[in-house]
Amino acid sequence: MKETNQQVPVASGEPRPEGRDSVLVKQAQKGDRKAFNALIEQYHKAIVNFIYRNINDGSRAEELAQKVFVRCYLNIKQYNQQYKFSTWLYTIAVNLCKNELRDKSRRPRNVELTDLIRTPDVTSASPVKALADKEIREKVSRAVQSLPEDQRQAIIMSVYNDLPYKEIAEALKTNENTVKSWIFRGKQTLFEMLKGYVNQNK
Amino acid sequence: MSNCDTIRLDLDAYVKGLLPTEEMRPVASHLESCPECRNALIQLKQVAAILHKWEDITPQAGFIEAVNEKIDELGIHDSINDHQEVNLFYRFRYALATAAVLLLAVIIWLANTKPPESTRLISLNSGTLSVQQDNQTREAATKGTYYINNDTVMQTAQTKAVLSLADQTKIEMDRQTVLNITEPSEKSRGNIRLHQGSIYLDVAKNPKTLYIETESGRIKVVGTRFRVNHLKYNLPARPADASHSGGPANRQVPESVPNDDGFRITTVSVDEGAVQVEWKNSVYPVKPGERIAFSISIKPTRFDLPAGDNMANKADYLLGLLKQFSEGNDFDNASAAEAILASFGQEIIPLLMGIIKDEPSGKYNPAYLSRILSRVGSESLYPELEAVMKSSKYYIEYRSAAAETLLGINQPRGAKILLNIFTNADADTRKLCLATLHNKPAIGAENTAELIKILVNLIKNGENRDNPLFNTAVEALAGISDNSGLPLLYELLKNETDYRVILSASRAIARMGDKSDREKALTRLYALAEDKNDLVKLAAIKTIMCLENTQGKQRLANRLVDIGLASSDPKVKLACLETAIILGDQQAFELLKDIIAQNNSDLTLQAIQKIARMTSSDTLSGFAVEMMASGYYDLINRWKRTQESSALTLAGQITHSLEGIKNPRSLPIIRGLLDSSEPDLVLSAVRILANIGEKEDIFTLRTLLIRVTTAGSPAGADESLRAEINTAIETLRTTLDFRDE
Repeated sequence: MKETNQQVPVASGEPRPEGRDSVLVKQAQKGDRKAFNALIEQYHKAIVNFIYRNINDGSRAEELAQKVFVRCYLNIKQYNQQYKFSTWLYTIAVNLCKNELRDKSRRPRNVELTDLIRTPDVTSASPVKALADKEIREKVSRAVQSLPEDQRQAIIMSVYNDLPYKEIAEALKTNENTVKSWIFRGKQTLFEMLKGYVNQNK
Repeated sequence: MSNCDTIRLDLDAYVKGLLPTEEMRPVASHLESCPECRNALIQLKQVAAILHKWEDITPQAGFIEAVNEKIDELGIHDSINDHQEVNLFYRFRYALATAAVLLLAVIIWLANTKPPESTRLISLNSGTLSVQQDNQTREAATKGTYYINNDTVMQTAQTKAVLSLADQTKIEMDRQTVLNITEPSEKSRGNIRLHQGSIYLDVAKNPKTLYIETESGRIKVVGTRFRVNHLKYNLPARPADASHSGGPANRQVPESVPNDDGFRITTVSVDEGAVQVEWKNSVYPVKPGERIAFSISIKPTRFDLPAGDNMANKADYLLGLLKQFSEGNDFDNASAAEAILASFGQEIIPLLMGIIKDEPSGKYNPAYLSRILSRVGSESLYPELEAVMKSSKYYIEYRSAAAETLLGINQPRGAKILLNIFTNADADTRKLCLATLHNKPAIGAENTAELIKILVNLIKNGENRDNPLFNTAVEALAGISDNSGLPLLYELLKNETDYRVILSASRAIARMGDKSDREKALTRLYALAEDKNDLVKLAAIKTIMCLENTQGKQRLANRLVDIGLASSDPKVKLACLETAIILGDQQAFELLKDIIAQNNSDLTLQAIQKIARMTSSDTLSGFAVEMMASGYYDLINRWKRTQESSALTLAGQITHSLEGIKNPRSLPIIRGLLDSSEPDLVLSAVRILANIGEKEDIFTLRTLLIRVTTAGSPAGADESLRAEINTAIETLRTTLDFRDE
């Protein structure tokens, strides 16, 4: 187990520092904005992208991610150190995404412009395939979006945010096996939708 | 059958290599005998590769400030408890005039917070440390003597720091390393707790033992020189051996924010003397030249590259090692791989370069090769990397890795090389250069200027849009990320006449600059939106909409529809229609009417197809269905008036497209269509409900059936409609039962 207390005992009866995060969280709980900003710095990209892939709207995703951190700041004293700080952030983000999608489906007219401008980080391999990639990217985002909510969130967390099953289960308030089955079924559906692109993707 | 189900739950973990060995075997042997699960496994692998085509977006600069603004607006800032105390501290700190005074203050403060007996002196020989105590952070200046106690957490940020203890033991802390040092006792010199990062120790001879503790276990030392890495997702700036030789001072280090969640590996490599790793009641000695790796759950394992020249052997050995370390832990393989590979330091370079040049199977991720090479390599690799990058005989992925490494080792110098290559290269290589330089924040003012010049020329000469370089150049100009390019981009914004250049430049400015930069870019774009050329107008407006906030977008929507109505160019009309629908603008209905009134079948058909595609979007689905219905009424009325068969055909196209709708988000609008006066629309709605309806729709359909039967309306289609409704109810009931299971 990662969380054992034995190997790195800590002096003065303080709980074992989980490292940088818990130090920062403690400082933030005391009202230290610098520490809180360091936490934002560390997690904002992951949270923005998590929301972006849920709602497929980059600028709205940023607004919502800001909301996540504001909420986090307001409630930081209630944060329970038994969970990872990041898990807690994802829990907030999941709820905001749910609200957003629900509200959007209620007022279908009042929509945001899908993000045309944001060019994804181009650090990956082959620029020669850049154009074909763009098309595939759109197909992928559409396919992911069409998944049922639970499957979609589990898949985004697992595939794009690289979270372990345990953390996904905690953030989605379920157990690991359920998460695994959501991911498996979701990926099967995605395969059906995207199999036309398999061969272009050597 | 049930066996397959349990196996399948683990397949995803199996593909990612996250499964413990004991669980791997049953999966593997099941796969041997079960072609269906084998097929499922292949599908998982293939889908994973495609899913990663959807890359991350980069949040705009100023994110943190925006959050802070919002928090301040809420006015809760002052109500946080303990706030005063913190504030006092900062006020105190700012009041201090010089670093020397600050230093003194830190010493006094540190000494006063704990009883004197637990405090000890350390010296900071070089570098900057941030010192944390009682949850407060203080910056300590370079050089000086400090009192510390058990709780004093010392942390390096972007630079190294060298400490020495009272007995002259030297601790070299790499970037982003966190540790504290505990109290000595009769037998021990105290423990160094390495929470994260990488340290190199030169331990003075001393009869008492010194322990290095990490989460994974502890290391016992008498007198020796050795290195300890305790790493997870991120590596220190320089890996073990490279830090000895000392790299160039201006070297660019890839971003690395310490991430505290998850799995860590500790590696120890000894230069001189010997150390012992103590792990769960066993002792593992480590001699000079040896390397050992361990974690909380993995027992200490010696590792080294196999001798000889066989590269495949070495690579396979490493892969095996990485697999072994991934057992039973949910963690990112690649990070452990980086930690292990980087602990080899420069020794690993020939292997990685060999892979880039000769490895045909593509089993190594090029992005990841270039990350490690960027860390352990130095500029002496440049000739070799340049040769790979230029030559078409290497795989494009690995050429790209070479190009990334050029920048990774030293961004300004690498950029210079790429720009030189660009001048005399074929189209593929040129594209590779641009794609690599895209979005690099620190290539330097001179290179940025050169790059912008090249891009502007490419865009202006790109009359032929099929020229593959044209699009890359447009993207690359918008992706300029080095702040030093801002003045040049402004100049383009002011003086440039080619609208495509202006669009790309304003995107870059808006991305890099602050609020006022954004405003300036928008002003120029609004001017462009008055251009005579419809296409220029439209392009400007599309760009504005990407940069504007929500209110700005709504204001723009009106303008868009006006352009669409006024323009005679079908392309412009279509683009306006599409964007207006995306904006949810009611006037989009006007525009569609106008398009249908053009009496141009091709144009109308294209519009219908565009709208039909939008029904798959969650946010637009309902609106798109309404648009289609509205188009249907227009066309049918036209047909009734003029008896033109083309109008009827197009209306048929609409019902046909409607029936293909799969998105449940359009359901509320589809239900509305059941009340339509057009029998064909009602029929289509019934068919859609049969496919994607929910439980309540059985009831809705029954009500409709009763209405059709009793009122006999809508006229003329009763018989077939009734039959269709009955079928729909049946279908829906069966599929719902099925779905419930």
